[in-house]
Amino acid sequence: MLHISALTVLYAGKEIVKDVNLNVEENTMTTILGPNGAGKSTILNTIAGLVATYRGNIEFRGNSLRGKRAHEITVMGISLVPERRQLFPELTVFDNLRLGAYNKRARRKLSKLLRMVFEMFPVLEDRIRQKAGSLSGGEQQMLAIGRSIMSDPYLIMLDEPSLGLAPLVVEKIYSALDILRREKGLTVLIAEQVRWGALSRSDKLYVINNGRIVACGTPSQLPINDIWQAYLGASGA
Amino acid sequence: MVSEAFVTLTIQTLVAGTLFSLVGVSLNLLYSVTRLLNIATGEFVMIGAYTTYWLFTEFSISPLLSHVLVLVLFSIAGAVSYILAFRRLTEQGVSEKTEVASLLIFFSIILVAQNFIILRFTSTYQGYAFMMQSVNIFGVNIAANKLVLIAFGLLALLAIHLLLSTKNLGLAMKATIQNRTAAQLVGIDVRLIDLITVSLSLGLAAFAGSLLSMTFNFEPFIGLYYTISALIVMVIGGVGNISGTLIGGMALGLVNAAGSYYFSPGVAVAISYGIFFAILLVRPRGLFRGIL
Amino acid sequence: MRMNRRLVLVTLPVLALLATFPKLGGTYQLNFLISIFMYIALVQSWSILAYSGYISLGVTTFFGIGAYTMGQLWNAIPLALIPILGGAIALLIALVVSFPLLRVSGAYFTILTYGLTLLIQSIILVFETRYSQVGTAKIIVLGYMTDIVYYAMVAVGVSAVIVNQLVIRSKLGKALYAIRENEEAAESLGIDTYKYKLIAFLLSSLYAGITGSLMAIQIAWIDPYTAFQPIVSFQTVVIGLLGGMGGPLGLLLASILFSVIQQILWTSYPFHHSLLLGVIFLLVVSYRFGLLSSIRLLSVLKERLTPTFRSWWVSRVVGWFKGL
Repeated sequence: MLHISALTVLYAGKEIVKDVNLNVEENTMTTILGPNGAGKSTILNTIAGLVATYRGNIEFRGNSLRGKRAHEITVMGISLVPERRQLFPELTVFDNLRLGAYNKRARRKLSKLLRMVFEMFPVLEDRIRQKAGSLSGGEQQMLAIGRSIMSDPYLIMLDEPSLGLAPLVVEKIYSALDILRREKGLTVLIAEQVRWGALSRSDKLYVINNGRIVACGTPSQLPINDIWQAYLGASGA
Repeated sequence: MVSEAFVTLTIQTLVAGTLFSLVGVSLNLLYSVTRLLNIATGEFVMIGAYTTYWLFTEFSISPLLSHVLVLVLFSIAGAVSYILAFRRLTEQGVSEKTEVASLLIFFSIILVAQNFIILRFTSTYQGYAFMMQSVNIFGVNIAANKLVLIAFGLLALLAIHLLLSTKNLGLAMKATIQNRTAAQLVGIDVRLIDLITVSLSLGLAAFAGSLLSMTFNFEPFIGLYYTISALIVMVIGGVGNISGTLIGGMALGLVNAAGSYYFSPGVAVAISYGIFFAILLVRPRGLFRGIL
Repeated sequence: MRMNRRLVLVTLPVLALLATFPKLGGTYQLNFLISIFMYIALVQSWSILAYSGYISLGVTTFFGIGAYTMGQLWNAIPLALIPILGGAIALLIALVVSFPLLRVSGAYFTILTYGLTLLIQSIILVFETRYSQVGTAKIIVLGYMTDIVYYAMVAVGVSAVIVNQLVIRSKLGKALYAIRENEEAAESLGIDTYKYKLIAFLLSSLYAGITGSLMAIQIAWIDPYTAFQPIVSFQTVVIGLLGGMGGPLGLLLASILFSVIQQILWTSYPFHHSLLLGVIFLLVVSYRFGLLSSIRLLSVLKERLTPTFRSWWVSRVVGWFKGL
């Protein structure tokens, strides 16, 4: 569904992402593992259209994403749940979700999508009139994911969804994502530091370090030791 | 029954407050969406005033019509200048470079605007007589044009408020103000939002100028006064808080009216500035949630 | 400060030329040089605060205070005292307003200094209506003093350059740069940011005041409007920001360049010069920041011209300096 080849991204003259090849098959959960600063956020941001220039190719469902702006990419069916959630703090939970369905295709299915989000995260329905900024960390993450679901995407990307959250909440989020994949046919791409929840549920893993993919395969192909090795690899920590 | 002072003050407050709210919204809207601080806001007000004056004295076009003309004309001008120049500034995101660039651009606009007007109209005060007939309100004679100013101004402010309350555009603008990145990610074309914002902002400022030309005399240097007033109103209301701007505008209008009535216009300015100082002292980061 | 022999060899003849200029050139050229050195003085002193990232739009305020002082007192007290007095009053007022001004964040600071002119102007107008008649301008009849004004302005301008260079190399300069990088971090490292910003602010106000007093003699007609001319702030800031991008040399050259442009415009188009200056500013800024690149023709032109222009200019200047 998503094919990335030879992706290289520069920032302030430095290569943050170097010659990355990555494939995400439809209806799978793929995880990019890597330490801080490895470039995984940059990859997701580039796919989402937030990065202006890059080398290489990004192809989604047969269409090239080059030159497309962020809002156009959302319309095409890719939704990013950014690092640190990036909600609209002064707007209510309801408005945040409604904005998620800004594009025309999603707007037609607004109530259906809303139902789906509330089924997954009932607590959001409880807090529907509350301002997003006043929610707890876990609730904000759920709202951010909910907002992404509201855009009726084919591919949902999450940048460090477990950052700063309690383990139970993280479990809840990952099982919700799993349900989305299995029951709603969504494709999921996650960028994470090493997390059991992600490892156990992923169909494919990519390990990234210093901007390069150092290992890839299914969880069974990459035993946990190898993952750690590749992860710590060049940094030698 | 009702004291003369009370009526006079109320009208003066409404007149000044409406103008301050308009320029305050102009500045606030532009800054909160695009992060461009338009220090030339007052100059657009000034040009709006001169435009209506010119249309009236040269072509006998009624100021009532001019108000709308100026609003539309300068909105279009804003859109054009966005497409030609400002788009570059907003796209690159906020940085020291874009701040410096916008400062310089607006500075240059101030220079060009002031000197162009001086050349065409000289720097002496200008004014014209329009709708000067008195309307009797609770025993006090008020010039009709003041009432027209208040009516048109409040109408425009109401329209803006309604616009921002709409589910599509209004919500999209609020979203862009609160989190530009997230707005892009939910599918909002922020460039379009920027375009609309710049157009509205410039149009409103010129509109305010057009309104004030009915009631006040004006000269090429009135810009600074309105720019500072707009800034004060933005600080009182809060960046991104348009309804707060309305309240702030009226509050400043009251200070202005009372200061002028009981002391003098100069004192009113000093008091306004003093209040500005005071607010910033108490909350050095401003009354906003750490945006500036 | 490194006393480079070649540097001395270059500056001495220049200074000598400057010193004898009144005998060589006519009044017109003298006025021209006076305005050059005025902007050198203003821009160099303004830049000191700008090193900290705080952009002041209040040069006009202190310039105006100095000019107004000269206007009021030129025939009341000995002339030589007035620039000093003008500078002192400017300094005092700067001290008073610095109390709130320097405690706010950078953007607010810029806004507040922008309005400062309005405030001071209003206060003066209030006083004028109370204690004298509004609209009585003070006319300074000192045309014969142009020579002395010239020498004074050269001295002020040169001293401003020296002070600026001294600041860059001193603890003050390092502190200002640190503030620009990250003010909070600087504070936590124990740097008294308020003190250093204050010194920088006072220095620029002092120079603006002294310069204003001197220039008042040239302006001749002094009232609250002619004393506080917006263009002074504008030109200082534009030169300071654009020239400053080229380092200390860029600053100096920009001051001279813009003064030259202003003079040319003033003599060629006595009525339109301010407008044309504004248009030129607009074009230069747009060019520099690539703002009009949406217009294909202009961006193509820029791409063609920039490499050749830059390399010629840079290689010339760098080469000359390497030689020093």
